[in-house]
Amino acid sequence: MYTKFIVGVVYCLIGAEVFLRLFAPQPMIPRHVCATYYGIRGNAPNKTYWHIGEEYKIKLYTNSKGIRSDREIPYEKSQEIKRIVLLGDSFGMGYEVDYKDMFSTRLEYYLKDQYGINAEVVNLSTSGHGNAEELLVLQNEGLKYHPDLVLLAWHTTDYDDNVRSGLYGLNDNLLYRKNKTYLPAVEIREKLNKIPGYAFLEQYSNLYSFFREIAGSKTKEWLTNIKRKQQINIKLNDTEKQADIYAKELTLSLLKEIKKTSEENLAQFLLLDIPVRKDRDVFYSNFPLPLDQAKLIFNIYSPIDGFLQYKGEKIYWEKGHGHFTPLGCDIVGKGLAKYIIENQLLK
Amino acid sequence: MLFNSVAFFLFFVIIYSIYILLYKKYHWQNILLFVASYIFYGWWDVRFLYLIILATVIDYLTSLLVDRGRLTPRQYIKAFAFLLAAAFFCVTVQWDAVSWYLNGLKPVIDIDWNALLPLSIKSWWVFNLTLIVSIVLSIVGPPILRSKWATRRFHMFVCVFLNLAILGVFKYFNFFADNLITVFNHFGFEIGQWTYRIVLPVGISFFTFQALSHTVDVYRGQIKASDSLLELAVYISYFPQLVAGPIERGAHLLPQFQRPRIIQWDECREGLWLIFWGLYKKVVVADNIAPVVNSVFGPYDSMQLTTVPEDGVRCLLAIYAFAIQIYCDFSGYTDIARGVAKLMGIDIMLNFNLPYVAVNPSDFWRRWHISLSSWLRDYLYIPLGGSRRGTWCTYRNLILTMVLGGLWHGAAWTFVLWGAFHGLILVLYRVFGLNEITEKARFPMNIIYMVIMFHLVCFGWLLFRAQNMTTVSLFLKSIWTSFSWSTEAAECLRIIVFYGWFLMLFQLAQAKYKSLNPLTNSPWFLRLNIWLFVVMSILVLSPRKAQEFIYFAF
Repeated sequence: MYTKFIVGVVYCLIGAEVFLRLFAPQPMIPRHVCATYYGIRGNAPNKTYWHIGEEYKIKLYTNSKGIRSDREIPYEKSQEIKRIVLLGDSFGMGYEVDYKDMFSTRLEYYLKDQYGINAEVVNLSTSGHGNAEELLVLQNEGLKYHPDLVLLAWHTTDYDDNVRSGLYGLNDNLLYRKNKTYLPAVEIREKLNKIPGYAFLEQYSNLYSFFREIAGSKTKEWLTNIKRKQQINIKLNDTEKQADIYAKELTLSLLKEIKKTSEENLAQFLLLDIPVRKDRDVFYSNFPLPLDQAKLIFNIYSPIDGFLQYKGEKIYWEKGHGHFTPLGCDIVGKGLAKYIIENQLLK
Repeated sequence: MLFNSVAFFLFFVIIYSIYILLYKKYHWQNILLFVASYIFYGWWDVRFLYLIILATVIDYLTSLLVDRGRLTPRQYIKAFAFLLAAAFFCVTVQWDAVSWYLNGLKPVIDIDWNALLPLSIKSWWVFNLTLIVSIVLSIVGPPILRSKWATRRFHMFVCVFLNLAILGVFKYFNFFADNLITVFNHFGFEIGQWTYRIVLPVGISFFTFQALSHTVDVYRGQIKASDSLLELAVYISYFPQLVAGPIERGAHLLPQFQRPRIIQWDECREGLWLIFWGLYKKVVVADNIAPVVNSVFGPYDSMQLTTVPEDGVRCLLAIYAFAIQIYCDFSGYTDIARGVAKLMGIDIMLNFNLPYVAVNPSDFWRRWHISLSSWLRDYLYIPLGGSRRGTWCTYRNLILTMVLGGLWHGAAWTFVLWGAFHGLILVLYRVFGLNEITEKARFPMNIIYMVIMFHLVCFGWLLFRAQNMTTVSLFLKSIWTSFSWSTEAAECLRIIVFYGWFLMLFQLAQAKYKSLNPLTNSPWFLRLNIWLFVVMSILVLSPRKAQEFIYFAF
């Protein structure tokens, strides 16, 4: 009876894997993150792994500091190099594209090739980071690289990420530190990694990828709802609206704090507003302020005009997790380089 | 609360666990079902509960009067206390004054007492009116009941009138008012938009029909009136079939609430299969095919576009897709409802029996929405005279029944035309003796008759889905004049085949083995693989956001 049950379960698991491969292949995008000394997630150092989807097969590697780079980057900076510290989430980390195609790599290329500037991008992005974590990354790690420019890749998911992490809160519109750490699922992940065969499943199983994504997105949704409920003490009908206002105000405060930190350390600050894709040729900004107002406070670059020049082409992946394609990265890298030069941000 | 939502899953798990714990205590189970059904219905809008309670009270009182000719004070007080409580808790109390938030992980309920029970007359009018009606009836009721007017027939008509009045006001008021305005405007009388916009309560057509058929059955002597208000309330509001049927009959469902239910393993197994198969039809087939339909019909809804579609093939495919969508959406709901009821030891009637293998219109209506078609037959077609009063009367009765059946679906002329079209083909098949020919046909002629009938049904679906007659004519013109292939048409076909192939295979097996559950006698290994396929399809292929059922609008 026991043997029959085990055989049945194994058969069902194999059957489910076969079903997924035949009818709904899943993008396999393992994440290798670990706890940093300052209490948030960072990329696991010295890792090599793959992102495999219907539209791509990408090799990722991190150096000894967990940076997605083909070389080690010392904290000290030579005089002839301009440094750009990049803060961001999976978009910044270049998920679903090769290292050579990442927008940070393209930015380095265009700055050198078209404007003769020897710039180096230190990519401190980690998948899942919001602006709260990005502020901590800048304070604890980014400043050690003596950046000339801090570039932040802002994405609409940052609203929920900022509320969910609970690292910062707003009290009478003043930003204050709430929790010391935010390490979601890091402990579970570390335990799972010790199980023999887990790494193989994570890398090659459609079934594992499917359930991990479901579990991840549902847990995120649930945590966000709880955190939103904790922030608001108002009538039920207005909760969603108020929660949105709170998330926007918190996000703006965090961005202003990152700008202030950068400028206090003699670095310029630039925001990349990653557009939301509605269709192949319809994009919009979800930034907390309209772009003309945002420009009064921040240096902000939106690649929407650049995207529209390639109307109808694939700028975001459509069968994976919806990050930039190499074309999307190239448009962003080129546009950023131009914006930096025009606004003399690396002077 | 949608069947295909996490909220319903949690709701059902909790209710079912308590239901099992109350095994053999059927009275307590009825109380549980009563509470669960009202929570289920109140989830949409708590105010709608007043309507269902009103229908229940009307049916309770009139069925007792039809059956016994009198009411005891206890029955009267019980009914109006129930209605007054409904008026107070469902309409007067403003539940949106209650909110909650989290203090740490502890939920805190916040009540705005000033807003909870408003003192304005406007907020109390339903309660006051209910109170006045109950007092007036308690005074004038006894003399009326003693008068010569108070016959069984009179009480039955009161029930029919009041239930149809509820339906008329909430479902058809806007429709008739709008048409009246149009007619007046046509003759030069500008009366403007004075119509009071009334919200359509979900499932109103289902529960009013179910309520009034109970009293009619009592009148016909098919069942006895129930003395228990609780049992009748559960019969009318039983949550699995409350909002989209099947429209049950008192003789079939009510006795099941009057005795202990026995839950058997075979029934549970069948119930589970029905739930998963219904979910498959709804979330895998209907919801994934819906974008094909919407992409073609969408631009023509509300007259946004008035040009002839360029690719007729795509229009035709969209109509086929709608035929699949509406079948899977509606029969999926019924399957889930029947499955959920089976797990509770309750049998709900069959509502669909492979409608697209029908060979003639009569056959189709014996297979499609069986509970409505049999309801229309028993409570409309036969009382009108059925086929007993000569040929012309039979044809008139058929068309009238189908037109009213069309109007039951929604307050729009396209539904009326849809009903009239079905009435017309029913008549034409009778006139030319095609019913006998098609039913006696053997292979391959029966397949040809099926294909013809399917296309007639599809024409009906075009009338049903299009929001105006201009769209119908544009689509027909496109199919007729520009029947050309396009890449969009190829994509439509790909989606239909990808999501529909297993359904078609399964339906072929159902037709071949003449069993709606061909899995019962199949080898366990085949059953295991089919279960695996269905469960994985639901998990993987369903759209992320739960979609409403089409028939909730009716």
